[in-house]
Amino acid sequence: MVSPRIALGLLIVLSGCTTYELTMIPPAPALQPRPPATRPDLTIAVQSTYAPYGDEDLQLGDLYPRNGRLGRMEQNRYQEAFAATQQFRSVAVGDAGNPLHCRLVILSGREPPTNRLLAGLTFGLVPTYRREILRLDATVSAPGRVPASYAIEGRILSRTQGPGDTSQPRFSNVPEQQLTAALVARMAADGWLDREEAR
Amino acid sequence: MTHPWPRIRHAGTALLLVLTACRTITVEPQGDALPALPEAKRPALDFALHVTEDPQLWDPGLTHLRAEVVDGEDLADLVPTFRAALEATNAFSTIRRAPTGQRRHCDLSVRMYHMTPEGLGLVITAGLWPHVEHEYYEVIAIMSAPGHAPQTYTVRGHAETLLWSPLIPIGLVQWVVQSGTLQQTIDAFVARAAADGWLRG
Repeated sequence: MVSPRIALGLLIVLSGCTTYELTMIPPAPALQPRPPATRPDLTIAVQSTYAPYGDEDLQLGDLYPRNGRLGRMEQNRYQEAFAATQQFRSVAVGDAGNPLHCRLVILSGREPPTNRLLAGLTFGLVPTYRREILRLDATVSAPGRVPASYAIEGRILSRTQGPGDTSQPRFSNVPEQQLTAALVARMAADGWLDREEAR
Repeated sequence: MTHPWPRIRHAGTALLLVLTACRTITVEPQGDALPALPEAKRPALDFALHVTEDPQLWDPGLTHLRAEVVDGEDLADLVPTFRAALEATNAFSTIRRAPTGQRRHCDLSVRMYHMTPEGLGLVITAGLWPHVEHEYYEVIAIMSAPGHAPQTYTVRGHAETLLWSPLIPIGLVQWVVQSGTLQQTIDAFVARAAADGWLRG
């Protein structure tokens, strides 16, 4: 027979998880599979800024560029997110040049977690919630084409249950991947992913 | 039965005193005493903050560890600490983070590093093995104001704390170790700026 204390401990550990609810503005079209032979190369440039979250919006008067360690992490995160769409032959960080290029300007911020005290006192049995806004402004360019701009906003509600430090940055990259997939779907719909020889 | 709180409070105060006594803070160059300005005469201040974590402050030979720019939300988390340190000098009426503009402005470029011992060793010995924590700040402050030539101040603060902390929560130790050094460094800079007339209306 398992003692009630061990059962409670197991319950707390097993229930320890974070789930995300992402609302995308505008809603994204579906991303169609692309055969490997028709995938273009892509270079990206990422410029990311933190804006504190308040009054259910980002506070644009108080900005903090991510131009150090966090900036490098953002760059890697979006490079992986573009690669994960399986729409490109290669994704590299670089300036606009010969291949298809996407300049990504990111503005994001998240509120402090709610219920932290209660969650701490109950060892995580009471969940904490955090809201976050992630705005992507993408400028897509390629030689011989007029650049196009796309804007996507994601509103994320994270629900964390279980022991752990809820003040830490979000661990999962799923929202970034979903937003990037939505952006790529719009690029594809406008013909940006059709390779030069096919156009 | 005697309530235990007074005893716990006294024990906590004694521990804090012991820990504080084992700490040496050095600030170079030492400034004059901070001016006691009446509230009505304190100027407003805008400031900008740039922070780098640099292990070479502890050991210039650590060339394999590169300095890291503190950015984004990490920098945003530090801004209230520096604003509070400037406020605690009681030399300014209002303090806000803003770019250079119409008001008196201070551009703070800070290199800092906290050298803490390996956590595993602390856990294994339950803090029974004494160790030394180091905290470094190098503040380069550029004061400017409309109609004044900018002036640069460099102040370095270093704290060395001998810790022998059986059974003291590590959070309390960190709080004691890391409080005071930044304040004294900022105090020294503001005192020098005041001596040069930067706080005159």
